Amino acid sequence: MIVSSVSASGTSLPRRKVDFDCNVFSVIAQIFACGDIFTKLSFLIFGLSNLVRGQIIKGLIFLGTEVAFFVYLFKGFGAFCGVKDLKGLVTLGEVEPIQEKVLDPISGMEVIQTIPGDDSSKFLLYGVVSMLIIAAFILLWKANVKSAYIAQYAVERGKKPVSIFRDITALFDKNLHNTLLFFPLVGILAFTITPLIYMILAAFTNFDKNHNGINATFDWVGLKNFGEVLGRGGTYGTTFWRILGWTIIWAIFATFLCYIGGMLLAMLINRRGLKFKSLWRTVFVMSVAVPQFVTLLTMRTFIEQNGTLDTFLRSLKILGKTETLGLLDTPLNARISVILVNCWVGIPYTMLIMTGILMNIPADLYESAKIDGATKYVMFFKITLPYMIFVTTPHLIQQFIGNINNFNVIYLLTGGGPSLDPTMYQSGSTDLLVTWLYKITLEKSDYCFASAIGICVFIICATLSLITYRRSGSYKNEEEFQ
Amino acid sequence: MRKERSMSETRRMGDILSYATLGIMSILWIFPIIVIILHSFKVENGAYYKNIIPTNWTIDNYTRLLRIGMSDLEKEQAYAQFDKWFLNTLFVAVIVCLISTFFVLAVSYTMSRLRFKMRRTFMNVALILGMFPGFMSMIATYMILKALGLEQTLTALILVYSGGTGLGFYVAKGFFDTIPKAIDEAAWIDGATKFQVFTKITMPLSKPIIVYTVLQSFSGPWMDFIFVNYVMGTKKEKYTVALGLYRMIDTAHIGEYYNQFCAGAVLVSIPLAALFVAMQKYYSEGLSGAVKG
Amino acid sequence: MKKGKRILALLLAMVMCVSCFTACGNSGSDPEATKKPIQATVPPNTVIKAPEQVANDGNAKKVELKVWAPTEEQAILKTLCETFDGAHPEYDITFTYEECAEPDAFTTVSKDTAMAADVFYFANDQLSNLVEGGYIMELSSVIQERVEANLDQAAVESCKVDGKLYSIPFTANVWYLFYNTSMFSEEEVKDLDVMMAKEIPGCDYNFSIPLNNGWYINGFFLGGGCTLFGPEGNDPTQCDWASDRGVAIVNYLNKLQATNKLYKDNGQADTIGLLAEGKCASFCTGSWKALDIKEALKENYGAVKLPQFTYEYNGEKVTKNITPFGDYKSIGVKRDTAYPAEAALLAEFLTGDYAQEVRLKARSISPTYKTIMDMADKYGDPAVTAGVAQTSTVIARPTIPQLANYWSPAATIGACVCGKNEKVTTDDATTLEFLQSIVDMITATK
Repeated sequence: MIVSSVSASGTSLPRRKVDFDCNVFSVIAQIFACGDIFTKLSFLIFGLSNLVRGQIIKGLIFLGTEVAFFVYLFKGFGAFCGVKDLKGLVTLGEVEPIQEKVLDPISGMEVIQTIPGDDSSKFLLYGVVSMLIIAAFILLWKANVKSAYIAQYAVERGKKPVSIFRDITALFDKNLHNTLLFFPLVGILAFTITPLIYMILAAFTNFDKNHNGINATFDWVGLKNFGEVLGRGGTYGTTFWRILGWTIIWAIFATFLCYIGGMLLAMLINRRGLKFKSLWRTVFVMSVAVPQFVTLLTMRTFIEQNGTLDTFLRSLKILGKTETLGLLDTPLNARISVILVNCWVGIPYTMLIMTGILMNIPADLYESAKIDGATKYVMFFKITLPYMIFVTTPHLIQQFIGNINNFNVIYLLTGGGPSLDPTMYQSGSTDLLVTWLYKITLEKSDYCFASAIGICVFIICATLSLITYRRSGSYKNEEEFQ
Repeated sequence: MRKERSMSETRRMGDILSYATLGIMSILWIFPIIVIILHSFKVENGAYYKNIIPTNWTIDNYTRLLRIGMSDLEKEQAYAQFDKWFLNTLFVAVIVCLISTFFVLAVSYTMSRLRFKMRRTFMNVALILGMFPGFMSMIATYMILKALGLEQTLTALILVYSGGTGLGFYVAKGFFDTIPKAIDEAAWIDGATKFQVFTKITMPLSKPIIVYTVLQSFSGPWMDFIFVNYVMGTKKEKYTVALGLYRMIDTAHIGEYYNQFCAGAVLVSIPLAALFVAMQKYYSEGLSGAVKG
Repeated sequence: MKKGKRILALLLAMVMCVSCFTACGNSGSDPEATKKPIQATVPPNTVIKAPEQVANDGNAKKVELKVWAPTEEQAILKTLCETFDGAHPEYDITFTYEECAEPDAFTTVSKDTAMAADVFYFANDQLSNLVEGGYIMELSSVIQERVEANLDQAAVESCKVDGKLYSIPFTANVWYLFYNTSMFSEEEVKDLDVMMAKEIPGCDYNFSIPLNNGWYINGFFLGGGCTLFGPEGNDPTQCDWASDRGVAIVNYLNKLQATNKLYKDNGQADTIGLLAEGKCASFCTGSWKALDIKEALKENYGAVKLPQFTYEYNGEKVTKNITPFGDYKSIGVKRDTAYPAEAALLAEFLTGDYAQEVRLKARSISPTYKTIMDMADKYGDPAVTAGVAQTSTVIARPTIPQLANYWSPAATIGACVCGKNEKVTTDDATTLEFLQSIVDMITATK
């Protein structure tokens, strides 16, 4: 956008205004085109434009960070050095451990010492960190360039460039989002994103128990792990698809049973004229408040073979002396038990949500319906039910995805068992993808496969979310609801 | 007249049925908890006790669990060190609660009320990040903690529990969305900065969601046993309550420590349950307000 | 909300009551019921000759060693380690003791080697994993010679991989039969079928064994004559369990299950509760549970090596002893320890004659040091005698890495038998098919 304007002194300098609403690359190109010599130099020397225009502190900050970055890149701070780490990311270590015999002076014994080789897992981690630092640097460069131009523009229009103090106050007003988001973002970056990138990359290496960075280095292998996990041939492949099938079935049953159960329970408690409403609610809420591993482990001691339930039924002579209900012994029984116990855990939670919503349904809807002569059932099906479904659909979707990743219930109740099928690799009939992932990580140390499976779980969840969110978006139509 | 009488009769039958159903369901739901409470007083060792109600009662399980009345040597050698674990968990929970609440409220307010270029991107990315299984990154997180020199410390737990909580803004955002924008606009016209609006106007209106967030983040450290198991390993004096209890029922120890496990479970559940019950109203309001959004 | 407040008050009152009770001490509880934890310490008035303790000379090297041992060992561990320090004037050692159960050793060490103990106790079935992963140090030839001279040969062999010694054994990790002496006589416990046939009033289960565990089920198969990984236990492609003999053994196990007197232990010590109540007459487990079982059975405590069983094969009755593969527990040193020589010497000391004698008298577990083994025979503890007797009859555990593939599939055999699954109960052909799938998994190369 070329706007020629006349400066206060009357001379006509070419003034072009940069449109900051365009995409990033266009903005940078415009800045370059519109910038004067100092702004253009700021592309290479941070903060130059700011310093020249009188923004001393800001300019020094930009310059300082650029210097720090280049120091990091070539010399390094402590163990972190940019170029070295990037190279390490590509090679993932090459030196293998060596064993040698050393004579210990005091005991006079010959000890066999191992000189450690390159620890590939460290290389991978440092490589990821260096990638993130470079990404942060690029963002800083963009901010620097933008700030350089803004300073220039202010001077051109005859105004004094914004002082640092104005900037700080803006952080609490116009740019509040930057302030509020800063620390949470740092936390997310350090503890969510970095580990995640690391594990995603690990899926493309052969980081398993034979190559764990201590006994040998590991290397990039590309998509080989995915082939093995998803293929039908190898041990991982056959197990993966069967566990996936059960995971989906489990998520469907668990989510819908809890949803319907919670809704019915909420409606029951909310019934007009029912006394002790908060007492009933308290009772159910208590089972949510007790930590899950306590309640689930109790449940397990109840229903497993020769557990409390069996002993109780035997004392009532319903079961023979050594008979057992076998609630966790066959695949079908175990699966049903797991779904039912999950209802026990999940219904109070759903009930709480439903209660809040039920209480907020406008009463005049019911009034007008009654005047029109509607019976209770009609009111339920035409008012209550649609309203509840409409309001809780996003929650329902979230619960479904959450149940796909529901680790606690399965792991604590059955440990993934029973394992009656030897072709299921390291897993049993009630294992979900997540519990299987956990077992492979901890017991088999096959991190690359665990990561590959984790990525597959993610792709499934993401696809499902996208599909359902799209469809629910079209329901967010008040007219249709009315 | 007859129609009214039959209506009140059906009404009464419906009431009786409701109470009966609720009664049965309550028993079903409360039953395991009652059993744990009862078993925490039993004398005989072992997890497979045939009676629901113990025949011999003792409070020894509690005293041994809390290491009351033990000599220093016995204290050191006791397998269950619940008093220390409780304090550890309380410490971690309080700090995590503070940091977490700040993170969640800051992020959700930003997403709800402020408009800036990366807003939609952030929300989508947050949604996507939440779909990865939690402990896929356990190993990597541990490596990062090692690089920071924090392995086997409570600081590590605090960092990990609170670090990524900014991503869980969905519920709080939904709540903030229900507060009318007109209030904000009126304040801006009066010359308030956005920060002042945040602290002086929005926060006081948001008690339900603040309580909800505080409760959620406070109860987290009491319940997690997977991650703390990985971080703490064998350093028993730094365990949290969840990990300590979990360790008491592994194969090698369940025979001897099941009773103490029950006692510990009761001690943990009472404060948490009391908190939940007391805050029930806020919890419900906060959740339903959020879900509507 | 009023009701909610009332509940809150009630809960808080409960908390106050509990704390009042605890403050008042044991008032109101049965004094007999006060149970002390089962601490394994050397019985009083036992005299064991300790090595000479010498004060440190001025140039003692400062050493820091971290030791991981299971809970049962902790009571004697401190004494043993300090004795070691005292016997070496050239070292000034600071010890850190932490608890780590033997089955968890591998996962805990492999998780973070920097934090791992320098010296740790583990069960030898993890040895090949530890060696493969590069977590354990090979011991020097000097130590190897001494160990081979002084310790039981089969024990030492199980600590070797590829002929190199990686750890030193301290006890046999075998399982045998504990039984209630008032329910079975010494003659009866020699034969499993006699045991199962006997009617014991008031007792529900004559025999308890964790059958759905690869550790235990191999007792029947290997005892019955099948082999795992070939006759030498070193061929990863061979496993002859999918044969007529294997089917015959499965049929025998089905018969056992059908008597309804067989109890499948959950691995969580539920059987011990039954033993205490007199509802179960015998239990297959090892020395790690000896003290708990002694508590449960009190004066009826008995232990013996595993009985024989008779199964039908090709129309004939074959009688064999239940013979599992035996294993050992040993002490190893982590590979990247800062003090390799000192840690190795500590490991050797903890498995030496003094330490093994202390351990024998305190924990009643069978030793591996030759002279102590002779002593143990005359020691009079049934568990130890049974352990020593059983150790001499076990089959050596295969030492090849393929063993890692054995556990999970083998466990499913027991699970199916106990669950009366149709895969093993329909007919011989189905059973054979099932066993074949097991063998395929065991010998699979992944």
